[in-house]
Amino acid sequence: MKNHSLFTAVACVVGCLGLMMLSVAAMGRPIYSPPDSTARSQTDAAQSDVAVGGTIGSALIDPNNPIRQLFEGERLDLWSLRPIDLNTPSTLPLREMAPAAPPVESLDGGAWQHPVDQLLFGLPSPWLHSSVEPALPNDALDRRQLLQRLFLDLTGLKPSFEEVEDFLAQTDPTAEEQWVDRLLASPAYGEHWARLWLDVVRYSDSNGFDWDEFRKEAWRYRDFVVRAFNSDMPYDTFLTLQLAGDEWVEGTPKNAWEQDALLATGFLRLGPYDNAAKLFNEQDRARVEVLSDLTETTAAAMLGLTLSCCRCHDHKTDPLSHADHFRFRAFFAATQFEDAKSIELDSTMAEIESHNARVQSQIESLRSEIAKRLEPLKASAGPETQANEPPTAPSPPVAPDAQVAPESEEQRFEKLSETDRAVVDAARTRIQELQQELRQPSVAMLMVDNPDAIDSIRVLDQGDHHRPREEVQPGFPSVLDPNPASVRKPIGGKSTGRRLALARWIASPDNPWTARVIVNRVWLHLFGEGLVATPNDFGISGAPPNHQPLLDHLARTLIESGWSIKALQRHIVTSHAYRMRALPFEPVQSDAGTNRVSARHSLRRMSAEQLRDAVLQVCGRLQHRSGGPPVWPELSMEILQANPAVLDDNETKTKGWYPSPERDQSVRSLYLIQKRTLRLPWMETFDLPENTVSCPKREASMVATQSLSLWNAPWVTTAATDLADRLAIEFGSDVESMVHALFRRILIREPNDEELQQCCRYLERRRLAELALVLINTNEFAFVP
Amino acid sequence: MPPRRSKLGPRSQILGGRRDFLGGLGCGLGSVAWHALSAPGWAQDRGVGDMDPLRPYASRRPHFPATAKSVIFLFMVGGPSQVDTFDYKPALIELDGKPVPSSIRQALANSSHANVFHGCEDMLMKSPFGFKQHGQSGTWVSDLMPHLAGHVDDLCFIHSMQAESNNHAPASYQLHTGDVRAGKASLGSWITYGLGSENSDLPGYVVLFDAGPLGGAANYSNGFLPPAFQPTRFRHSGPPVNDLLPQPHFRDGQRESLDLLQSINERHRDQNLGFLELDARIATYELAYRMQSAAMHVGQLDDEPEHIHRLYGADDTEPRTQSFSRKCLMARRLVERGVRFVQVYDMPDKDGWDAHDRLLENHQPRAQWTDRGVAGLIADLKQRGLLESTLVVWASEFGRTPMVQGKLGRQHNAAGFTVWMAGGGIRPGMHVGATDEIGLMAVERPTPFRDLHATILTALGIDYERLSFEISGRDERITGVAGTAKPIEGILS
Repeated sequence: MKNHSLFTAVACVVGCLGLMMLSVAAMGRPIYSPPDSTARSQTDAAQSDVAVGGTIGSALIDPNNPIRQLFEGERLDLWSLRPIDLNTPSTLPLREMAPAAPPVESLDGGAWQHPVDQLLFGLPSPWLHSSVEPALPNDALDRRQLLQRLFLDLTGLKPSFEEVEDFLAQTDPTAEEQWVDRLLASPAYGEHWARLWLDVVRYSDSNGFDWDEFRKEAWRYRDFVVRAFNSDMPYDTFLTLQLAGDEWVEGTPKNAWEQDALLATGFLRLGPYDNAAKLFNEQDRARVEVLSDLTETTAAAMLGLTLSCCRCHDHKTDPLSHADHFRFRAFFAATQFEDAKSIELDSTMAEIESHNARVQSQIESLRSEIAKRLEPLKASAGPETQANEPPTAPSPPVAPDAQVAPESEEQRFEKLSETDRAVVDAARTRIQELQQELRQPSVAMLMVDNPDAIDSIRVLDQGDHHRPREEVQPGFPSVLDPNPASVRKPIGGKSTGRRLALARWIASPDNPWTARVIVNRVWLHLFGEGLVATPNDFGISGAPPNHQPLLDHLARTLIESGWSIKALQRHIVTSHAYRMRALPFEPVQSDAGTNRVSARHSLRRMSAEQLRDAVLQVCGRLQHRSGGPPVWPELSMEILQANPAVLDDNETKTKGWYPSPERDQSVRSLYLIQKRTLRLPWMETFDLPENTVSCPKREASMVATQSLSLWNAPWVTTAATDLADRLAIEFGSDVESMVHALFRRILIREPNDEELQQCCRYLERRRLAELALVLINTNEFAFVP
Repeated sequence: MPPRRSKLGPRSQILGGRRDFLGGLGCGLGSVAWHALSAPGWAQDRGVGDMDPLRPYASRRPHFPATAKSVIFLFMVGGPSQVDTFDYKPALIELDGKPVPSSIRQALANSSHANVFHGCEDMLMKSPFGFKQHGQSGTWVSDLMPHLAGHVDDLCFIHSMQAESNNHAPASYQLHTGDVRAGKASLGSWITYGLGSENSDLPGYVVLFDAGPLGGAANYSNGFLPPAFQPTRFRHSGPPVNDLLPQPHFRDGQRESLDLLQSINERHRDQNLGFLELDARIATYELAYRMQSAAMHVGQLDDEPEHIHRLYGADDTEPRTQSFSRKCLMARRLVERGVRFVQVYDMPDKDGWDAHDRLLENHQPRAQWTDRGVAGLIADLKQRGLLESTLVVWASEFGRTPMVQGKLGRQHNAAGFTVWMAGGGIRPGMHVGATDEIGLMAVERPTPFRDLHATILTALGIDYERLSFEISGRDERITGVAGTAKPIEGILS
């Protein structure tokens, strides 16, 4: 059974058995079946589009839908409300398509084979309105640049000169696809694509606000995301686990998958939190902010819905009511922080327990040893007698007798003989050592439900928590389903089941937003522009899709592949559209009166992460790291003071700055600490986004401070010097060879004659490290081809 | 078959489409092709917020004639007490040691500021400082600020400010960005986004601090605005900008290296015609080169004559006075050169004005460290004629309670506190709004931060309702989306 159809299958099961089995069951994973006795699942409702048995249907078809009444039937023409168009071509090759698609001419006069290209360039396109002209194809990048683009887009890193040469030497027509597969399988892939998602869910390692406390365990969520991308976790599962992964885990996790199911719910815990609010009796405000942030981030990240716009009133443009914001918020009404949740596997936990029991028993025996030394004093026995007893003799701990022993332990200790004191001292030291050996189970920072403390969620007048109005029940956007969501409390009752209900509705092939939103994000990251230019806003005030048939085709491809992100990416990057040379921005379509589809690669400056990683990589300094706690760069006190809380370090070591050892500093940027109030200056200069709200798209500014940073920052010049030193050892005084080597390392090509001469002349006066710095600063280095 | 790039190609055509792209940068650039990009008169064609992404700092035309060109925002971190500085409450002397009068207590309890009482004793504490009247305006100022007291006739006081949170970071975020939550854009970012800057060799938005404000970088961040509008931090001694100058072994060859870089870049650009991003990035290296000398020059405070140093208190032996005074002097030098927005933080340590205990021991030195710098700044701007076009704002995230907290300290007070403004078309010698008789809550013309923002933007010639940025379906404004902000009445000339 294909994964995407699981929820449909589930619906049948629900209907027949009154039971629900989740998609993971069919993926060969442990089955956990939260009971759901409702006969009508959300999937049913979305599919049937018919109001049945007293429930109200989608506003698209049901005149009684309150959204239809609220906005007087307007706003329902929003494109993204419509089901994903199943009439776009599937991933099947053209020849198997319906005859409706006429042959279309490609650049070389042949027919476009790839569905993406057919959709974009097909002339005339059967899928576009007749007034819309297809896009103009551009020619393909040369293969050297293409491989660089593939590397940077799929792994975030640059290829080596040798890898490019190998590729160029390959005559096998499948060479490119082989590279695509190799890159998708590389661990660096997940490290790069995790960043996409971490931006969208505003990942941070700290609380924000005054104290901006370090969240020691937040990285476990980051590592989960990396693993999810690397293992190509189906996207519907990926979302479901983040919202409700805890529903799959009874007690301690039994295997790595269950462990990830728990860690995924770290998503719920990522938002900023004002930990100082309680000091000023503002917990209410802090709680409301947590819930509204969770609501708005979930809606923006997973659905492209701007629920932030209806926190205070009905949405200004979209078919979303004020109450819709709070209905959505109610799915999270029982959530509580859980910062001490053990995520150890069952088996590891047993190991830890038996290890700790062993250590504990050693501690106990030492304690009784000490007690024995000290105890006889009370019975006025001579210390010498005690000292003669074999020190290892087992002796049960003796209960202190308050009446005869008013002396403190220390007083008694003072009375011992020197030998005995040495024995006791040694035992005490050993106890301390043993206590260090006790293993703590690993914990994660998550959210869990407290079913006994569900916030009553009320519509807040003007979004102001001082002005609560009517209470609402959990529900999806009323435009599609105005009824209260059917929520079932799972057996065991550790959760309310609300988040699970939400997850099921979101991670569904029938949800009109979910698949479209993620395929648009993937397209954006591969082309520099989304098919929908506003990736977090699929509403009326957002940009309409510049090519909806293509967007829907990709959404359908994703769903049909079992929500495989890698399959989607492979599908896109093997199109001609992906291989095209970048095109300059065209401000206005030039053919007057026509409405031409735009499909272009914009020229993208590398992100802050890519740029830093690339500098380290080409200089041979990039270190491999597979996850783990964040790396803290060494920063001057002058910079650290940006948040004065850093000066006020505390015992739990959450407010200060804790630089990692020098040897760990050159890891990929993904692993650098990401505090909310103290940004890494170099990264910030290169447009690292604000991490308190969802970032749909990286900006690339062009400002002088960036040039100063890449030209003068000590870590850059150190890396350049390092590289130059190594090349100098290798090539001695052979200037031409050194120039060649530098170009190969940094620009991944040979210098041309002019450049070679120019650089050799330059090196008559200047050092090789300076030349390395120059090449690192070139546009050729900084832009994705 | 040739590639079908029919509508693109020759550079001139592209420029025809965007005639003002990158224009005006030509002067002084080494790049030959650069001149081709220049088109005179472009700057006048752009209005507020109509930003060229590749020339983000280019000066833009305001919506209507401005009374202020630049802003210096003096931020006293931690909440200085209004009843110990500018909000004289003689009733506190009588009521010292007594509970808060029940009518006032009730009024507070009924307001959204009820939590201001949290953590205080129900006992009033008179100010440990004496108050005197100063200037033609007869403004009461405490003994804490003898130098500033000499300039009260240039200042306009708002005694009825209110914040929506009684906690540092949220209140501070709100004063900077209009929202108690982090993630929004700061005033300096908004203003430079709106108007650009008058000096293309220096950043348009500069922050100066020892330690930053409580709540950190989220205060002065560009938030959702384009990252070009993040501030640049300047130092008041040494090289004024981080990574401004080349590392020692790279210094001598810098010009030669830049020439090589630009020549490689130009060859690359010629193979990739039409990409203005490439030209823009080439230009940033020349801008950076010019910024090195411009920033070094503005940072040479020692060029100022001795009497100017004395005026600001930069000659003081107390390092914290010297440090703040030098920041004020630097602020003047920056606006003098056309920098649009300078944010100065008074935060020499980790506590600021946050006097939960021992108000006297907290406020007295802090006032001393800042009084000469602030007074000197006003005097110096005035004597140079710069006060007319420079709006100076003195503010904090909130004030402090007249009630006692801890050992002779005061709790935060978001319910009513004082800020003042000077210059830039603000009417001097004015007093707006009032707190109740004990200085606890604003009772006359309570003024939210959004009104302060609306006032500042109006002085700059910006229609605050039109200075917006669409993000996630919403036209964000610093004055809020509800449209309830209005400039503080009667203080704009």
